[in-house]
Amino acid sequence: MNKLSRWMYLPLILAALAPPPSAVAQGGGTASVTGRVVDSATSQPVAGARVSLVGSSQGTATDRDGRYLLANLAAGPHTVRVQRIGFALADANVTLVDGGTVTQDFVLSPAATLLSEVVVTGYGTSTREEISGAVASVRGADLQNTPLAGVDAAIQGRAAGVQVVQNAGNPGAGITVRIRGSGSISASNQPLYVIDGVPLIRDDFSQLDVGGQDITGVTGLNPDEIENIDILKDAASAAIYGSRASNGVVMITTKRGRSQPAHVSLNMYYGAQSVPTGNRWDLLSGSEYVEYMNEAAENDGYGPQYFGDPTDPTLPNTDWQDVMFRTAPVTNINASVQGGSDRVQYFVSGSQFKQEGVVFGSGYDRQAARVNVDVNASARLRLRTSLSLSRESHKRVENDDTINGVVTNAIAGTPNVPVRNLDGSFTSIADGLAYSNPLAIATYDQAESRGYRAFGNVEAAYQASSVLTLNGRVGMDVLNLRDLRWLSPLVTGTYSADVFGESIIGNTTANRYVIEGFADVKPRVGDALKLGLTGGASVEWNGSELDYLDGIGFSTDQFQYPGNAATVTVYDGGWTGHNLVSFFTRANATLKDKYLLTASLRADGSSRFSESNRYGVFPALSLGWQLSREPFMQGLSRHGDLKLRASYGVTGNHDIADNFAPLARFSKANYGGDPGLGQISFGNPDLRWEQTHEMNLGVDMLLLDQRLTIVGDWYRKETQDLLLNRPISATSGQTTVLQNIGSMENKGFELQLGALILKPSGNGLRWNADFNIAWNRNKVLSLYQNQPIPVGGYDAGRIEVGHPMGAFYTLHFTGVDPATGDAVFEDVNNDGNINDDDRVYVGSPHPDYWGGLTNTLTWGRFELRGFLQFVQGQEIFNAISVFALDGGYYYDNKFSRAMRRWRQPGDLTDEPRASFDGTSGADLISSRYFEDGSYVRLQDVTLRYNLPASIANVVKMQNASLYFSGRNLHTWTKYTGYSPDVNSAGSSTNTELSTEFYAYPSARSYMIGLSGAF
Amino acid sequence: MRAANRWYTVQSLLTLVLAAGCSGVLDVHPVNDVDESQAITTPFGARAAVAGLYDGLQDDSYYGGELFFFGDLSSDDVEHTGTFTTYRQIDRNDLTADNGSIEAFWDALYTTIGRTNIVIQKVPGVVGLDPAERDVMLGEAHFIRALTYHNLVKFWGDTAAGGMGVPIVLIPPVDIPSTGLVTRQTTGEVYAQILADLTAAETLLAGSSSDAHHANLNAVHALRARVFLYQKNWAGAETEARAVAAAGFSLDGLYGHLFTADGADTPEDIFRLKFDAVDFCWEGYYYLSDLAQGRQEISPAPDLALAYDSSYDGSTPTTYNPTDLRGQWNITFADTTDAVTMYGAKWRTGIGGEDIHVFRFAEILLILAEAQARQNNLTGADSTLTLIRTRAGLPAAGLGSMSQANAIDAILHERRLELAMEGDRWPDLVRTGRVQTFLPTVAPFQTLYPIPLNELDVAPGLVQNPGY
Repeated sequence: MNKLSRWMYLPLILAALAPPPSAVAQGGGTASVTGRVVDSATSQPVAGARVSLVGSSQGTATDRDGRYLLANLAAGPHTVRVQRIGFALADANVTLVDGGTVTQDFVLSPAATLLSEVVVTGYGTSTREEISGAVASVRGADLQNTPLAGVDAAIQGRAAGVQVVQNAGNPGAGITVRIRGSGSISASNQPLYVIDGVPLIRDDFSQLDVGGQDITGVTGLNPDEIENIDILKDAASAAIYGSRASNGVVMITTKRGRSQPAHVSLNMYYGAQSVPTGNRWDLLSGSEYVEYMNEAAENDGYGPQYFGDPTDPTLPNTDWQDVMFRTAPVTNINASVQGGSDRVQYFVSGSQFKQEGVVFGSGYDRQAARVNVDVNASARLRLRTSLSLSRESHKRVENDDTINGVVTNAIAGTPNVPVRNLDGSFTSIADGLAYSNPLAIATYDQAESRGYRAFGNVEAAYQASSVLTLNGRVGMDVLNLRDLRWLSPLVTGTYSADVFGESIIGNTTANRYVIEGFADVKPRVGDALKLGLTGGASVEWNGSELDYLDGIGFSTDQFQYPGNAATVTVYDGGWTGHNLVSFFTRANATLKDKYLLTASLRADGSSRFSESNRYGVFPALSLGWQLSREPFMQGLSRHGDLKLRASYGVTGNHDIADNFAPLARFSKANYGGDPGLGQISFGNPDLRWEQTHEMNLGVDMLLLDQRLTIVGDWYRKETQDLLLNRPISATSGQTTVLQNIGSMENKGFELQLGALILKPSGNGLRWNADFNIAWNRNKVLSLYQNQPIPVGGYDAGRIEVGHPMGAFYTLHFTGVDPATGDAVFEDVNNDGNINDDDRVYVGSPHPDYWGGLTNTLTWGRFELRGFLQFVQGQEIFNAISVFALDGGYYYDNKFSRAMRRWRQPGDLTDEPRASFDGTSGADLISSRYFEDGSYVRLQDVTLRYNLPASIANVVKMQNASLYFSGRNLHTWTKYTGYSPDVNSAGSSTNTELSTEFYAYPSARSYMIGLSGAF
Repeated sequence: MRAANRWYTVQSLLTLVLAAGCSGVLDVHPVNDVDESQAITTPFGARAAVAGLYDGLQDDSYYGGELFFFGDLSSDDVEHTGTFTTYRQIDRNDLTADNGSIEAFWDALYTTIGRTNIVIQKVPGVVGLDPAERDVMLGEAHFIRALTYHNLVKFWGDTAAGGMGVPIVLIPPVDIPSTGLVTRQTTGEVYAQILADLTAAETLLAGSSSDAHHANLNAVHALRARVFLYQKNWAGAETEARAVAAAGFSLDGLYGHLFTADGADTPEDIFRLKFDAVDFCWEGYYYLSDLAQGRQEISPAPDLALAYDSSYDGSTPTTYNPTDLRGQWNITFADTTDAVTMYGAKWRTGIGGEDIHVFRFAEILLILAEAQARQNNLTGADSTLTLIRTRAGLPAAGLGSMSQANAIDAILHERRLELAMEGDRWPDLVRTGRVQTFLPTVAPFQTLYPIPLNELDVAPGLVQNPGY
């Protein structure tokens, strides 16, 4: 490649403006070249490959059978070049003679690029080339061997514009996923997950309240079963899922059988997880604590050594974090068999994933099995079944958003009290602890949520004619979740100790059944125009049924089920459900392989809305232009590919917790054994869908002979008619009503790069890099009467027009008065008082930009992968400060920085005076409690060694590899807590974001693994 | 082709299912709740709606907890020892209009009023309801509405009759926009409404039993006595208090008997809300110390201990030795070496089963004594008060030999000791204009609670109490 050609494709606009060169063939001879182009991996014909003569403008494309013909060529030596996105370029030298025809076949090798895959688009598939919307893809292989329960956690940093927040390190905890920002205030912001065509139940059905972290239905899927994930990001791509598409759609395709002899794969790893000392909260030692608290008391006139003598050599110094954390194993074993004949293909897999938590008492394990069978029942009828069964167990510990948690008390626990008394019993509040002994809680209390799940579908595709295919699908997702909790009376200072034990049992069965039918029509209109039409209908039933018992009073600690309770204090039982009836259609047109058009329309009827507002219609249109295939772009087309995309679409959101919101309702309001009724809602029959209008402009580029891929997208989406629980005057008897009020904007830019930096020559070093980055700006555009809504813990967040949703709004700390040691705050309204009127915006919980970088180096038998993930510009509300930077108002242990407190007039410091009565202002919620949550994390490094065949054969394996992997190895951040990837409010919240309140630590893990095939 | 035929059958079945789906699938009805159109249409439904009124009174933010908590936390009797910042604000009397606990308190009261309005509107139309039973139901609703309006005006209403009271809402809203149109009526108008409701309740409850777990005729007189006391209608208060006394109530021999774990019957019960582990009452749990299996969110202030035992030095628990039996019952130390461990022990269980007296006879005697003293019948007042003091193990106060002002002070002091931690102290200080006497740092405007900010936002016609 010379310098000139490089310049040819960089100033694309200039090139586009240049007059098109003559399309007439230059040769004018009578020679021809013909041949067939096939895929080296599948031996299937490659259609749409471009075949050209190097050095001339002559070219053509292969037909459906992979055949081509270049005619009217001049005699002489030529180089024939075949190019196809997703395949390595191929050249062949031929010598032509006038009147003669040379046959030259090509076998193309697949070249993995971002733009090569088949993309699952909902009710069909497409090739990346034909896509004109914004779709990100993650290969299943990238998700494997990460010690994380859920596939949602594993896609963190892998796809541009997909923001994943782990929230906390609890094994199996719910994950927050935002595709292109948050669009809703009261309806869910989590994406729709569709597995092999069936929408997954992703909600949290646990009835246990163990603090902020939740569990979701997403963890039930074993990531090893996944072939590919396609994330439909823009409205035009997602609109085929209509009323549930506003938050994007994650299309998951599981592995399937192949026509080959049985291929047995085995993958297993063992790892050790721990919380590195350097990642822990920096807290006071026993003597520092006593010194600090003494000073707080003395400053407020309580006399000296109120908390004892800090220099007493017998003073205990308990590092509660050290007490509560452990090195915990994580193991995964996955085995699968893939094979089949021409008639029947199958994929069968089984796995066990077991992760103990780094905090005592916690853990997660999952057993999962999958059977996918494809049957060619006849020449025209193809049947597919996909069935997954799984069992999950979450061993949970109370934490986050609570002041009774295990980690909570490991941070808050007073360091001058030992873990155990001399007689071996746990210390308690009576021994001077501020809260219950966390080790006692972890030892005696139990909280387990067990999930049993069956997820699957049966599909049939009948090829009625060469142009018409009829498809039917029946799918189901049945999920049973059993919660069992035991709060032991042995943990002193708790409610359960008072009532001689408390036992809670909860049971929820959630189910979804889908029946859908759709037809594909692919009329043959000629080679220039390709048309595809899809149309169908779908019905979906959703229900969940629950019961719950909470009993107190047990004669021994051994009785842990409510059946032995003396008194039942809380009980529940009920059902709720909602159904959907949908009609959808989509048309694809490709003209001359250059002009792409996709239009879709979905009408959804939801039982959640009243009869008059039941149906919503969601249209979308997207256009694509394969610019590089225009004659005037030839200079580029030899080395790459350029496509412009534009789309606009409307999607909906109806994901509100209340299935019956239009109705005015009364509910249980009993009094002393008499059944009672009380009004719970006025109802709102006018409710309708939230609507998101989104525009997307994108570009796909393949450069440097496909060694560099660039995908860029700009979008703006506006969500209107927000489903908002708006406050009404309580004098009416109710305090809120759900209405369609307000709008929100998200706009941003995404960039995904894939580069083959070093190309292999023989066994040389190969270096692949994938990089993605996304910027998103969230802004509230309107609200009910544009009144701000306070949100989040301590009302530190706020939803206000013109600001990002949930932006932090508190007092602004400006320093410490050197004379008094009191905290000084900005008096915004200059009224001489510091109060709520002086609050200002102190930061946003939304990042400015985030992304990931993966490098893969291959050299001989070695493969080294490194994965960096980054988030920049988010602020974290460290609400632990309320108790740990409060100046000594609470008995909790303090952050180490409290030791640089003001002590006497003239001291210059940023830490206010200690004050037992809370009079120094240290205890006010202010910018002082906020931290920069930006980070860059070395998320994963894996070194893999492919064993030589001679060694693999010893254990009868065809191939085998051994790998070492480190996870969460280092984080570059200013944040002082366990992990800046935090939200103690869990995955179910929309508005309380980026808040630290005693989150479970995220572990560092080292793993060793073996994978191979028989 | 047989497979194909079968496939066509499947397809046609599918189409049928889809067609059927469109008509029925989308009609999903709730099973945990009942639609308004079916809620209060039968005698059963009417009874349930009335039980729902008591459920409203039981709310955590009403008699189930915060009505009592805040009525003392604002005063000199009780202080904040827990973690809720909204409680701390109340304790410090530096309330802001966005205090969430104050808002929840306001909301709970109006939710109860909303339920009474629905009962009063719907129950007369219920077919098949025995008229006598219907009257009692309506009487209960009018009584509970009067009680709740009085609780509202105690905390938010100006003490002057012409000052701003609270919004009066007597019918369920006709639509959502109308809910934003409420305005505040004067305190005088609110009291007029309370008395009108009581008049209605008196007539309607004529045939009711005197079951202390439900509103009854004695409770109507008791509330009227309390209302007259607040209105400074001393003669009226005396008349109503005597009407209650005439029903034959007497004091229980043991003060602590009133506050047992699961609510015992006493001869003192006029109207007592029934609580159990399901309808959880928070009094005990919030007062008891960690060691006594509560969360000690709030605690008696040293001031209250001093009121029971003037020799208490405030720092050494062993110096607290009240002869007043109520002082012995109400206050305890978890650790007899540490004064900070003082906690409220009026209710002695953290499991929520303690009953709450909305009206008990001791309060009626205190109303009577005060009404007598205010009318300068000091010997009468003295003999009334002696009943209270005797039960507390104290000698007669000798009001007859005091000045009227001193006698009234002594009665108010007795009120503080008798009704401690029952939410009476703060409203009493406000009613008698003595907030600044006992809490000198409280600004005059702070004697009224702020109207919740959210209310002002959604109902622009509401005017905030001055100073907030």
